[in-house]
Amino acid sequence: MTQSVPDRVRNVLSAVLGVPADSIGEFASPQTLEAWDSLKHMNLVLALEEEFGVSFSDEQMLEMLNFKLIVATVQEILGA
Amino acid sequence: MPRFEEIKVGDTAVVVHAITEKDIQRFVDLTGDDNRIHVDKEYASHTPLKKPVVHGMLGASFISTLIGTKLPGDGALWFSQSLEFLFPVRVGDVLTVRAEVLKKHDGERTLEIRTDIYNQDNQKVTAGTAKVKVYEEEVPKDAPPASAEQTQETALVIGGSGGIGEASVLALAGAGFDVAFTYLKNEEKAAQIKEKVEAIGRKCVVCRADVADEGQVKALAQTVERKFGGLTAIVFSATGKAPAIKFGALEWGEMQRHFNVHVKGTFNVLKAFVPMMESRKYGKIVCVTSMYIEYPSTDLAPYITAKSALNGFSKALALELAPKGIRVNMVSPGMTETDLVAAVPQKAKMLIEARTPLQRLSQPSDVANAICFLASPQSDFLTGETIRVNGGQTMI
Repeated sequence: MTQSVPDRVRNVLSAVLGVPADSIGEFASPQTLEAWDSLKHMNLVLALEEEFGVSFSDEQMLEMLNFKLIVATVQEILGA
Repeated sequence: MPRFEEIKVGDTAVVVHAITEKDIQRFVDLTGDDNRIHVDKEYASHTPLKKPVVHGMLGASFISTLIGTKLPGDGALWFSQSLEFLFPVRVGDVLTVRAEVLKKHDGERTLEIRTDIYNQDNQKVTAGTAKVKVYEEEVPKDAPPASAEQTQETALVIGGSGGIGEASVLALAGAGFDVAFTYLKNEEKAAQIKEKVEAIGRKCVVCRADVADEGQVKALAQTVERKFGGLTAIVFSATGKAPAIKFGALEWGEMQRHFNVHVKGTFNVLKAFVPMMESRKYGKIVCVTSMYIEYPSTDLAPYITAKSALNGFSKALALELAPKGIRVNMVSPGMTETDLVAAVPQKAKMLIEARTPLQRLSQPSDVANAICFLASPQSDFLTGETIRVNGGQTMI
């Protein structure tokens, strides 16, 4: 069964940040997850681009402030 | 409400009412006058009038409101009325009923009052003269002396049917205030809010008023004074739609529309109500400004400019009215979840939430709680102050 966009984003975050997927809530952000620093954020952007086969603009990268916004940004690009 | 002795020849009063289809239906239900010229569009279209005409006596019934509640008010016994119906009234017309005292007969305690009705185009639709006898309440000899001290706290919320307005009306009622509030269009919602206030056990007065119109504000002041006898607090939460418009496409009319609500409306209301507060040497005025005056957002120049003007006006009055015991403070909300922001894209709201230290948008109740504090005696040592209800987005 195809995974939903939020589940796929959660799995990417879990893999990049090294935290359990079930610890990533809707408002997970660099303020709530210690592992989510600026370097990891860049890795995260690259991993998301690979996972979804998309390319984020500078503005979209700046808007990825928490899990919910990453999902919204990906859905916006995919037209989901 | 003036006593008979205080009424002078030349005294005036007004009542404003917008005629609706519902008014026609109620009048038909009450009187049984379902003449097709009033209720049947098809029938009326085949007459020289082309469209249904409002019952003349429906419009004229607001003369009764004027005489019974304003000039002279309680104790008035109407014993004569002449009427001439000069111009047809239609559904949607806004009628202004004007009364002016023409003669006063002290011995008989009677008044002769000109009672004319005008439509929104200032055309006189009805002319007439009323004769009224004025009775006064007989006070029992053992009644306690009337006291000038007002004990019940009362508040007026301008724009009480909006999101923040409704929350403020209910919070003030919950805090023990009797509440009057104005609305502009949403009569049904206003009636629902009134029911909620009365369910809390507080008195509620609802007035339709465009506060940019001085005449309507004067009528509002007469109503509030009559019902409450005075006023403790005034809250300005009226606002209009604030569409995003680039400066290149902006017309002055849009700027003026915002100034009418936020500045002219506030000016008119304070002109009418501050004297009531001055007489008590106490009053609380609370103006709802906006986070965007300190943290501007693009394409909102009319809204931001008018709210900034309101901010300046409030501070100027805080200084001037402080010696009279009247405090003027502001509540500055961030984006608040009301109908006003319903059209803002979801992602834009999520971005604001993410950039807010407390990680959510403001709720109307958050703003109302701050308003309630500023209306209460707990904030008596604050004036010219702003409470920023924005979850920590601006820290100044």
